[in-house]
Amino acid sequence: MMKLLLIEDEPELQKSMKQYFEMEGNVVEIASDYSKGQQKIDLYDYDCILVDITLPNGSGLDLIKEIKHKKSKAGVIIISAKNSLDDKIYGLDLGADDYLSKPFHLSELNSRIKALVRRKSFDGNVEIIVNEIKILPVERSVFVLDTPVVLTSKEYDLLLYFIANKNRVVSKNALAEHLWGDHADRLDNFDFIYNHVKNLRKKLLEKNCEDYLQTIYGIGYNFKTNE
Amino acid sequence: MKLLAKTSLYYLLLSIPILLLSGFVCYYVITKEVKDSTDELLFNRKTQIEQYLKNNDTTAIHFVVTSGEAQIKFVPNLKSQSLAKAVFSDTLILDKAENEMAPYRMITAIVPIRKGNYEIRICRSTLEFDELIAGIFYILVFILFFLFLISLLINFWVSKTLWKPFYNTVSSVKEFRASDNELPNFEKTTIKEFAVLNHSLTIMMQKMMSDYNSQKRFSENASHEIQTPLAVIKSKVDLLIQSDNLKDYEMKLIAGIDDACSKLISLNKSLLLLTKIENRQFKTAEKVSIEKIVEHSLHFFEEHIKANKIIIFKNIEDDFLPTMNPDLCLILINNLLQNAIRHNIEEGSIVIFINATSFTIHNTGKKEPLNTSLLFKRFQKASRSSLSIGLGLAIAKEITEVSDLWLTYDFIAEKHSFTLSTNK
Repeated sequence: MMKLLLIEDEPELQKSMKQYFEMEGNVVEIASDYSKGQQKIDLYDYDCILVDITLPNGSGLDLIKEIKHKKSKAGVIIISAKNSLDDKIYGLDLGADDYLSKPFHLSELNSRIKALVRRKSFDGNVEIIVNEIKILPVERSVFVLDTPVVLTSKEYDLLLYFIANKNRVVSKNALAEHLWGDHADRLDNFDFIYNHVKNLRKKLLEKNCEDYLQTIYGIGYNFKTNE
Repeated sequence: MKLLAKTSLYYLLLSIPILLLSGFVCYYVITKEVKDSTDELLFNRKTQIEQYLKNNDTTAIHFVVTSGEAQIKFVPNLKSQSLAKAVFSDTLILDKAENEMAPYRMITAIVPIRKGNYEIRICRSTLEFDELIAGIFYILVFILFFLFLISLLINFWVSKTLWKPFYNTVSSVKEFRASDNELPNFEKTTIKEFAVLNHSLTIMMQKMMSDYNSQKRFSENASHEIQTPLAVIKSKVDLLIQSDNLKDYEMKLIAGIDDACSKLISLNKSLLLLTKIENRQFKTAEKVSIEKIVEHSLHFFEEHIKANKIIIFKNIEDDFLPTMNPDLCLILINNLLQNAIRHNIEEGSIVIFINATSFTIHNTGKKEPLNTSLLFKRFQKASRSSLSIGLGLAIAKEITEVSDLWLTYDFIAEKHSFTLSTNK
């Protein structure tokens, strides 16, 4: 369970994000403007703070300064519609940990939060364990029932993404963006995703892993662990 | 033809009838003057000879007659009315030296001296008309030639000095681009027409610039404002697909929405990128190694190259190091490579040449050249591939324009070739 603070002024986006993260049992608090964000940062501790840069009566960048001034351990992710390189560089310089430009997939944000929180705790030296699957993120290695599975870089990224968003439907568009970024003109990435997922599933099944990957017709995949 | 040359030509053409007319006038004036002065001279001479006769100055008369200047005849019977009246006439007399008939002016007068009448006839050669005409003609031709020469000199001088502000204006207008947001500095001129021209042009350019800016601001704002609703749609789709019990039919609908939404997002992002490039918001520039960026791009598209069984040939003479923004350079090379992959054929090839001043990428593809006038325009799709949004080459072109590079297209030996170079 994580405690998140979402500083964002668009009510519909607040609702979506809150709903998505609460599904996993996280606690999500919301601040819709600068001063409310300031209050919450002063009063409570969070695992991760999501900050929009353009806020009513203030800039998210100033909030990041305050978070860092407080020596808060919270991870900070900037979510901005501006997608400005200067803002990104400046924000990261101020101590933000990541920058995600709007619009983004909720699954992408989720995987970034998970990776960030993991990095922050125990210096990132953690194992990710999902039933019989064990992942060592520092080494980028994967084990099934303690036998190593050799995955390509893309397959590994996919597996990590699926596990971060386990028991959720992840759309193929979200996967394409995760693997190739939002490149100006898209190539036929969906076929590659299909092949990568197929190979990943095959490699896991070979090591006697349970078949967690479900194909959701036309949409994408669901890594179902039936917890 | 230059305006000046044309006006001079008209002037010269017009001066021909004027010259002809003045030639006629000259002819008549000269002949009249010559005639008048000859007549006066003849009359004076006649009076003198008359005097000799009255004084009976035989030596003078003898001299006059023997020199052939005048003929004096005694006329006994005479009708009274022709008395004392001097008659002038033109006649032709054979010139023995030239052996041709020459025009002479002649005075014939009958004067009563004492009891008798004498007829005095004096001839004097006058102007030869054909010579006169020829003379006038030569003068006119000379004047025409002189006028031509003068007009050449005037043209040269006028275009050097008088028309200078005009040519300055023209060259400033040629350089003008509304996107530069800078009005050209027209030279101050005292010539009213040019001042009016400069003034009107300035007003027009100001209008163009403000139109361009408002249009740009509009598309910029529109793109920014579209981002938020798109983000909302995207997040709602992400939530919607989490619901249990969705039927296949509903999933299909959602997938359609998701795909369209993703496409709209990438389209919007590309437009924002274009606006940013146009606004020159990518400021940092440094020497970028094209070779390294090409390696990076090839790695990025590795799977796509493999999947289409495309063979890559590299021919690197020397590294190309243009000074530009590194992020833009990556986008540029990515777009060119992506273009070469997308429009390639199965088991086709891509050839990359790099030397110190250029980067060229050849690819196999359709066996006909692309329409170069539309190639770099926005939303031009070569294929009906729904995955492409048709902005890749427009972005590439815009990047080269802000980076002082040239991007050209060629179709050589059934291969499509794009060249990026430091000069045209």
